[in-house]
Amino acid sequence: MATLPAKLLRLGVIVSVLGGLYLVALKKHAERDEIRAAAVELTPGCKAKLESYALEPGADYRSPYVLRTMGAAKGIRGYSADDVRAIQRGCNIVDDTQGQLAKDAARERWNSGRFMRGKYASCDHCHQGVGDKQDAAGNRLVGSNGLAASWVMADMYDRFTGLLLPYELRQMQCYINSSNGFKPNAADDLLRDVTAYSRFLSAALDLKIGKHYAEQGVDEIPASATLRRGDDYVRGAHLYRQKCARCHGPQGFGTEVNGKVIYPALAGPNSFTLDARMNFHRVNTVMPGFICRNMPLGEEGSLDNQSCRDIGYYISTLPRPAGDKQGPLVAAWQRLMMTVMPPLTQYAESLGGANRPALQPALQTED
Amino acid sequence: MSTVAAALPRILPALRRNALVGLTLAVVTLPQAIAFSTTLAGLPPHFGLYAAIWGVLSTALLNPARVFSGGPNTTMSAAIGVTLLPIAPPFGSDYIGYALTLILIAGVIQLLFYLIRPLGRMLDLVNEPIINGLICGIGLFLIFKSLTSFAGLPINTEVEWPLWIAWQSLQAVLEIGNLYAVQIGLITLVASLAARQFDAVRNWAILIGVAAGTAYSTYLNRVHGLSNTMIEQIGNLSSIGLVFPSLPLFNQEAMSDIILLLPGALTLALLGLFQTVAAMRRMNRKIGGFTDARKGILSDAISNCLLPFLSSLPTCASFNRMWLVYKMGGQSRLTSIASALFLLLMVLFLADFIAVIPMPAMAATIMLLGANMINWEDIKPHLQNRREAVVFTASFLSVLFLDLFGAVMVGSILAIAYSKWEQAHPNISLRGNVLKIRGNIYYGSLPIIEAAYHRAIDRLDELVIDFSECYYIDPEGIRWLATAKAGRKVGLVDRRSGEDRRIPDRREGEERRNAADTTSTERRELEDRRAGMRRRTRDRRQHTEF
Amino acid sequence: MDRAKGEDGKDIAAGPGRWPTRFVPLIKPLGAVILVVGFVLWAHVGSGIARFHSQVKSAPGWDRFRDAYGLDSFGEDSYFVRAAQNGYNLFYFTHRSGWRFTRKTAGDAVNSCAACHTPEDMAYAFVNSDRFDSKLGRRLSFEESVMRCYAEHMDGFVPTLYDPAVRDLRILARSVAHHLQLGEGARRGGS
Repeated sequence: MATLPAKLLRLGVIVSVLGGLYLVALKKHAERDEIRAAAVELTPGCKAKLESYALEPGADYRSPYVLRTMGAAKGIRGYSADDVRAIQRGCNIVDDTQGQLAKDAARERWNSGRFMRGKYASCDHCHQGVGDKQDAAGNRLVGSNGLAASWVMADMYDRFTGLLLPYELRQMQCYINSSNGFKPNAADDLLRDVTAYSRFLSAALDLKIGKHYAEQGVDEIPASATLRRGDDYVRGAHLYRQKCARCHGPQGFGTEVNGKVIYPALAGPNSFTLDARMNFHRVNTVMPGFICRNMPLGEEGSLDNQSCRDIGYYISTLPRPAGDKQGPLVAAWQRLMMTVMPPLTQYAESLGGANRPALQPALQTED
Repeated sequence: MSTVAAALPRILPALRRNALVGLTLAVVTLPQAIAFSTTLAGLPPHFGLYAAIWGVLSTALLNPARVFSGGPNTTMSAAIGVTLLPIAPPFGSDYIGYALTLILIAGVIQLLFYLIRPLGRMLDLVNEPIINGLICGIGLFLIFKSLTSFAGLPINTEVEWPLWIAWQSLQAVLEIGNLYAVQIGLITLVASLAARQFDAVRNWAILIGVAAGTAYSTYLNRVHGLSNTMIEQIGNLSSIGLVFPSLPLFNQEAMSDIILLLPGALTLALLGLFQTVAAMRRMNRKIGGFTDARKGILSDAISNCLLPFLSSLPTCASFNRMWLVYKMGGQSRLTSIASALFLLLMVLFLADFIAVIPMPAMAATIMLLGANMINWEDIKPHLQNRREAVVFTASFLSVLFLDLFGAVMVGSILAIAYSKWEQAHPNISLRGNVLKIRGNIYYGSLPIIEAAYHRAIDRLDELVIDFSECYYIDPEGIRWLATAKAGRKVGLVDRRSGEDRRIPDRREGEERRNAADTTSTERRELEDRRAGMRRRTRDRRQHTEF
Repeated sequence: MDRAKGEDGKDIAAGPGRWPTRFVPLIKPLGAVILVVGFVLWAHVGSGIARFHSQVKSAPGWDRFRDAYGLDSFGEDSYFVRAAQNGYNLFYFTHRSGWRFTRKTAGDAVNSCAACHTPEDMAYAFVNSDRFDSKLGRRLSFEESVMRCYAEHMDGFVPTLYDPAVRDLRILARSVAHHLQLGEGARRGGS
């Protein structure tokens, strides 16, 4: 039995450790409050977008988009300065999740880098146009992963999680699918700000709750939209080498210039996980749909449905990290495969002999 | 009546003592039971309370052992929470339905372990290092899991790895946690730890901590208002009566989810059984008595089959409770009944006070219990023996890196492998020309034995194989012995005859061998008759000639 | 050591008409099991206490509400509709469905959300949530408002963020908002 002074000393140590942690908590809370109150530095894409939607503090909000398309805009509840800042931060997060364009990435993006694998993934890669992709005429593109349309259709039953999925948890899924195993808490500002931005978009585009809009999700390509000649990964590999490898790399590792990601990774440690819906094996309509709608950049719509399915299938056969649900053994195995297989196959192919077109040289980038 | 009156002065002190022990038990269990069900299992608090009332009563009734005390359990509640988290949002009615189904299936599995004796015997193979490794790992896991409710934050759904999520939970607590909740949790922690330092109030430490936390939370709510502090509390208990009958969920549409629950049910069943068997074993060791573990398994199984119909958490034996009852001199049945009655009274009359206990205090309670599960005095002996250390570490790490199901599977496999390893590695020593084997000669140990044997026979002219301390020789072993004997350089000796053969006899060949065999058989039979034991007599002369 | 057995294999010592010794040790545990099972049966059947079902119970007025707010567009019976039904029960019969979070009873005047709000109020509140509240000085989500309401006006306790007692009210608000075809920030009466 310890003596009284020893007991008091032990107690004192515990109290001081806990007290120290509490002081750290106070400091971090103060930091967060400060960031919430600070003016937001917008990325160029966000600046343009939010200006086009005339986001300003005020008692009323009238959307220029609605004015343009419908001729008249009903005034809805306006945004306060705090709301505007939250929306701006949310837009920044969607456009540039990892903070590559920010001065202090951790501060301005709510430490998003902590939850993501590598420096590659950004929401904008899939939710193009900062979550609101439109053509030159201002029409919203079908199947373009619009965030506003997702918001109005949120809280529905999701078969992958087996729950009614609120909007915050759907965002969490996105982090999980490209994350390093960590995920933000459901009450984190990271999620709330993106929710605020999505809600603002739905106000600006005058979307109604519970109504389906064509830009929601991905314009999927089921097998019935093809000639049913079978999804052939060899055909997919050939098409990939022809059309995708020059940007996304021959092994699908993406392109990075000066520490900035130009073209995201499709395979390897920096890409989405086995659990992601972009994985053809998991949902065999999302990746092909995305490719057909948005890829190759600058040549949208040039691929036919079967080609998109083939390329999607091929990409999903490339090694990628394990998802949360697979557990540590599968994760270790996937890691091993991602490390070992690409150099092996690269070396084996360099030995030559195969009947294959030469790889296109990598696209030169302006910046 | 007069006989009762005459007997009273005899029984009264015992009754009083048991009542006091029962009161202590009730007071100790109350905050724990509520904490288990709200923080760990994600079920409303009355589940824990009913486990502490009806669960305790039914195990007391079903297990006749003098010291046996069942009740709600941390590990089992954590297993329920972890299994159901991906299936439904906690506290909802479908979550409760799935939980009841899970507990029922676990109870049925435990019943199978009772009815199929070999399965029950396999539980005895799960030895102390494995159980302690699991318990320590789960203790650590409990601390991590309660971090988010410590700060009033929503838990993260989806499957997660405890270590990974622990760091993120800590950072979330520091960055976005509800500061009022954190303050309450800290006060509960410090008050409990302070009270634990003093022996007089050691048993009441958690209650003191919870009371301190509740007092502070009441003060905060009075000053700022509950809608501003947003501190979660236990909630209204006044609708809870004596009993709340419930039906597990067994819909057609829920079938796929129920099938997903089956590994979790196996985990739950095994965790309960491991702990019951281990607790009873420890109790037997400490007090020197003996209670058949099967009785504990039966009471667990029947209770867990029936408790889902009473809205209650599953139960299993708890060494801490049993030790407390024993130290205070109580008789387990009476104290269990007393504690259940006291808890019932508390629930009926103190519901308003229990309702305002803040959740951060419950989370702090779980943290303390988790920290208590990592007991250095229990770990140290395992680290001194290399085999036990390996098994302990493997068990501990499996909880942290695999989920509970994986950990339980690893623990079971380790148990069987460990026992087999022990068996398959007999102690073989070579002194002079005597190869002494201590252990079993069977197909598993033969490779080791034969390797030693062949090394010896290459060097020596004559070899005596001494299997005096072999307890079991299987047919493969006999075949090997026959081959060895037929090699003509080898003598077999069984020292149970009483003769010491360490110094080899100078007599030549067959003569010596026959003499040894005859002497040993005769002497052995004499000894057997003297000892009065039944033994498989084996005429070694006959067997060695094939 | 073996007990003397009679011709028919039964123990002689047990005597005619008595339990065979093999069964005697089973009497107590069996009796205990019967006692416990009997208690459970009484609790379910004999005690008259309402049983807990995990499926949402049908409350009066639900069918009318369904028709009035067009919930059939989400399906005749679906996960979502059941959550909305639970929300309906919480909204109109809070003291019964949400009894964990309120101290109000049937006898109190204001004992449900419906005492102060209409479903349309909920819908408009939903589309106007996640905004800055000048009184509190911070942005308030719909769930937080519901939690504060339980604590303050229902004389109750704060539910967890993801508790169905909160989530299902949000689902109800969303379905009514869909019926009214509200957009973000919609104001009553238009402008």
